Amino acid sequence: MIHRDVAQLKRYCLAVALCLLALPVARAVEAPSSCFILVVMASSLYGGRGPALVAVLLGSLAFDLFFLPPSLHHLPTRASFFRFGVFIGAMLLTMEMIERKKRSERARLQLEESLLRTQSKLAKAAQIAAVSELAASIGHEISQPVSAIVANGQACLRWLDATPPNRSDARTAVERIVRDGKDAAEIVKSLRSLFRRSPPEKTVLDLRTLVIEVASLVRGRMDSDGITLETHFPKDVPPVLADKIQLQQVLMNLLTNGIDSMQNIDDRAKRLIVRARRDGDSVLTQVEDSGTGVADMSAVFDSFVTTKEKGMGMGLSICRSIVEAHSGRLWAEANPTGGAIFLFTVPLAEGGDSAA
Amino acid sequence: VPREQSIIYVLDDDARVRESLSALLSSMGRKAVAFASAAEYLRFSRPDLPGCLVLDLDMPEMTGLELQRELAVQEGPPIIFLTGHGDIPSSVKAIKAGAVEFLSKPFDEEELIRAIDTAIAFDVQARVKYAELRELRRRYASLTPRERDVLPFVVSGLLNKQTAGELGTSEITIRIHRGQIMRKMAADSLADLVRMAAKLGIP
Repeated sequence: MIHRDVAQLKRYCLAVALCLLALPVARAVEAPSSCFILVVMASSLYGGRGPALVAVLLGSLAFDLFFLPPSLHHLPTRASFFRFGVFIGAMLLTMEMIERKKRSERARLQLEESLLRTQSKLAKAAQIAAVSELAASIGHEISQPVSAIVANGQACLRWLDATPPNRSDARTAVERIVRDGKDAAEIVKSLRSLFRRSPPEKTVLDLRTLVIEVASLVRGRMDSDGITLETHFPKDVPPVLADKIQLQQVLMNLLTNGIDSMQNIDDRAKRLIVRARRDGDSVLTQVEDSGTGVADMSAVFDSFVTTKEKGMGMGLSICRSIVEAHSGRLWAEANPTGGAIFLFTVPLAEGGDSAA
Repeated sequence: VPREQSIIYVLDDDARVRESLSALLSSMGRKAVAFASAAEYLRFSRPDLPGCLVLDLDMPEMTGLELQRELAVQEGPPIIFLTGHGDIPSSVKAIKAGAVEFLSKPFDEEELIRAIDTAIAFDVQARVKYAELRELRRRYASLTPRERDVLPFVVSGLLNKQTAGELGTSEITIRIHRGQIMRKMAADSLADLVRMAAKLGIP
């Protein structure tokens, strides 16, 4: 809360400062109207409605005190009122136009964000539907041999318990058990190969561009949560060799995790910082948040471990397997100023063929 | 009913399930016949024994539910369904259409045997009813057309004189027809005849 008030105060100060600056300039160039309209435009653009109104007020005062001929103060004429009115009208209109433009821009952003959210919800729903359908058909495929195994086993027991034991029928039953068991094992084996991740398709990528692209997807959420994003990319960060979509997935996951972890923070600034630097023959990227932090730095990478109410606990485990498929490393550290830091390495593009 | 005098039909398109079920049943000393398709089962001329059908719900070509509908019009044995999916809508449909039990694979031996015994007990009762009905139909078929005309009036409680009036004939003729009907239908009393008529669906 305090944070917000300080920021608000800064905006009003800006409006006042601009007015004070405009006064000598307007006198020097003898163009008061243009100067003060410029001040109102700037205050509205960078400060909002409140600071803009302050600028209008100060502008009118200045205009009245310093720019109308002194004689008019004592003997106001119709013309001077008219000039003053036009001046105030122009300033208010300018402010209103800028405000409207800003509002429509905000509405557009919100719409885009809600579209994006719906899209991702739909994708998730489709994924769940596909998974449950798959599970049903796997269940059916496996239940056939398994039920045969159970029934053959029970038949075998009965034949062995009979007096005298029926050894030949018992033997046939056991042979069938072995055969059906192999069938079931075959199904399990083919399932494993189905789920094995396809090898990454590596291309030369600029991490900075990638981060900006991914950040634009979560910009809406960051704005509405009051989170600021900082990116620190030194000029000499070389391109990396990686699968673009998979690396985007990793970045998206880390950024979203950071945003989620700062949801309930209100005693410090919500900052998400992405840094990258060269580290030997790879690039080290780190995503820092000022959120609630992570209690167990290694457990978070296990499947089905989650700190989120509605999480599946799959995100980080998938991220790690992606980074490792790129022969990189993904780990977490505590942020000394509160929150968590997630770090990962990906190999450099130059001479990167050896990594592919 | 002694167990040897009943027969269990197994219908499953999966050879492994078919084999293992037959093996399990024969290890229990039960008589089982297995079929790979609905068509094969329908072609088979069933022996005159009480029995039940253990039917796989998820078969290609003709599904278990379709076969069940087909069999509902015949004097088929009661049905026990087996399924690998066990989804609720199809189990509800199957039970509503008269299935005795609905088991999901892999099934439990005890469960299966209990279901089979229940089904066979049903079939024994049903077969008594079927036999009785067949006999009644045979007797009814031996009536002359005129006697079949007279029967509804008799069982609806009309006197011979009233029936004669309805059919435009003499009371003495009706009395003769009535005697013939009682003899041919082997009815001990009028009440007995009324019961038989009800079973045959004669008003």
